[in-house]
Amino acid sequence: MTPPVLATLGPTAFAALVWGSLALVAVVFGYVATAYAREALGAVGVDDGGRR
Amino acid sequence: MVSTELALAVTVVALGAFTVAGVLHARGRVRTLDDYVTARSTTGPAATTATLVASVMGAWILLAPAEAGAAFGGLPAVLGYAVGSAVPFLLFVPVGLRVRELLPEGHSLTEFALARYGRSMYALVVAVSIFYMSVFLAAELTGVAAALSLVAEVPQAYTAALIGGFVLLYTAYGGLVASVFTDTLQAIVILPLLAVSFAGAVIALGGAGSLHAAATSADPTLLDPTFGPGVAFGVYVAFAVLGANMLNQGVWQRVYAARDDESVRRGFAVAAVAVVPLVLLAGLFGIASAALGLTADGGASVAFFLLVVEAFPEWVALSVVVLAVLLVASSADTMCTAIASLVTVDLARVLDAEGRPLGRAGRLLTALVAIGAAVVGAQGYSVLALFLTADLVAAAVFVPFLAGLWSTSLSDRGAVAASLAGLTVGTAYFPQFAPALAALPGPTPTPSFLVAFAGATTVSAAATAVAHVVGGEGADLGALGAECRRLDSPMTDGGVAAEGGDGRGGRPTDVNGRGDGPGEGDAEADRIDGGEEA
Repeated sequence: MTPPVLATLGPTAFAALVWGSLALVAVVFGYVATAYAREALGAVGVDDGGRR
Repeated sequence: MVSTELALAVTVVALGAFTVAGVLHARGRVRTLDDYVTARSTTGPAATTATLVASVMGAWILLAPAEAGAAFGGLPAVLGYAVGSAVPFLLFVPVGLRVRELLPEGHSLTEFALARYGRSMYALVVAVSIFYMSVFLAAELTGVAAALSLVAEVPQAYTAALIGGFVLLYTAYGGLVASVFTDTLQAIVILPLLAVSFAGAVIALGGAGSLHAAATSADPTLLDPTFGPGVAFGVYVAFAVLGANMLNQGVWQRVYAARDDESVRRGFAVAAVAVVPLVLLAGLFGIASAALGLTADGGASVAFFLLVVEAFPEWVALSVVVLAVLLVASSADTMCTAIASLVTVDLARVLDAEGRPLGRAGRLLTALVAIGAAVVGAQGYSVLALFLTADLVAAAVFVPFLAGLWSTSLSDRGAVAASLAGLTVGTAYFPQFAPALAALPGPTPTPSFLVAFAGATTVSAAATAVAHVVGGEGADLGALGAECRRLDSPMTDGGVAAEGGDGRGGRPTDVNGRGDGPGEGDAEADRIDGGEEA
């Protein structure tokens, strides 16, 4: 017997879940890419004017 | 359908590019076996996040969450999978900091098990950890081989051999240093590729509204967050993922690879945030496949790829091929180096060996693991049953294992007994074992994955608490660090181990004869995050 459906996610909530997840992936990518670039540039001395 | 030749060409180019990058980066950075197996104190917070996401997010995220969404309970199953995948990273923040505090010169989880408990718990942890990682590796190669066969009719043996071969090239040369660096690059490629693939899929299928309408008209339970079977799946998969990841040497290696405690905190916390939308999106496409009737013939395990073949333009399908290959490569290199590091570190202790033979053994083991995985991956076995079994054992062992980081009264026998208690309950309810148990005299429990996984963890946790309370032997946690020493055997770029000191912190001179003892400048030059000596 199929269990009863108690609550179905509405179309707006479903769209928010899909596009919100995509936006969160983009935010994480932005963080990783910029923070990594900053770490890499810092390690070669770019952030202190190139002086080591 | 993507042509076989195009898919193969793209696969070779992508793998070749990362192999060259990994080898070039590792040059000059792998001086000792210690560098090879831990890449100690080299990754900042962003690189830590990137390598964790790339390592743990294998091709399984294109297979398992979609299958969960399509066949194991729709939305609640997917939500449970997504949240459950994040929990281990959050738990690793306190665990990782504690590990670094107690064993600052450590290398592996098995090293901790032996130093803290003794031989019995050590043997159990070695067996469970290697079993889980081997199954993970074989499952990854099997999964991607099946997926590329479906999308572009690439022979399964070709896919497994190509990925295994390229991964072997850079991991055998650069060990964890190469693995972490390629992981970081792969994460920077994987994240936008995933986003583009998923966004392209949503648009190709008519938008989120069309997907919603298709799902609700096909089966309203797919989008019911309270659907019972889906909730049960979400809960037990969370227990399964948690136990398995806490015994994943690949993650432990990254605790040591982190530059400092702040890198552990931020790196693992952001990784936890990152995996939730990735698993969620992958799962939603399983729901879409089920809604469109693509999984009606039993293709739930490749639900995402069925959708790719059915509804995507060729450029999206091709980007999914690259994505799948990179997802597997970044996980396969982690598992290869992790399994090899466990055995190498333990060989060093058992044989009390140093020097080049130990380094060669580490490299040989990496090769054996990669070749073995490629052979198994080409066979097209169903690895789901093995995966579930490995997860069950890990669910029973991880609480007693980790409790030793804080408890001074939990003994070797107490930890093993707690693990076995959890394993007994888990086995009794595990559906995979039901036919065998039914042959035994007497009543048998009703099979249930939920009871098996939750029971294994909670019973072992309760037994651990009892063993902690009644245990009388006081373990000296402060002395654990003395049990571990750096592995100063020369490796890829190594020369002669440095003389003097206590033999635990010395750095060897490199091939150019630079005698660079440990110091701030040296640490900076060794960074994975792009450091170059000025």
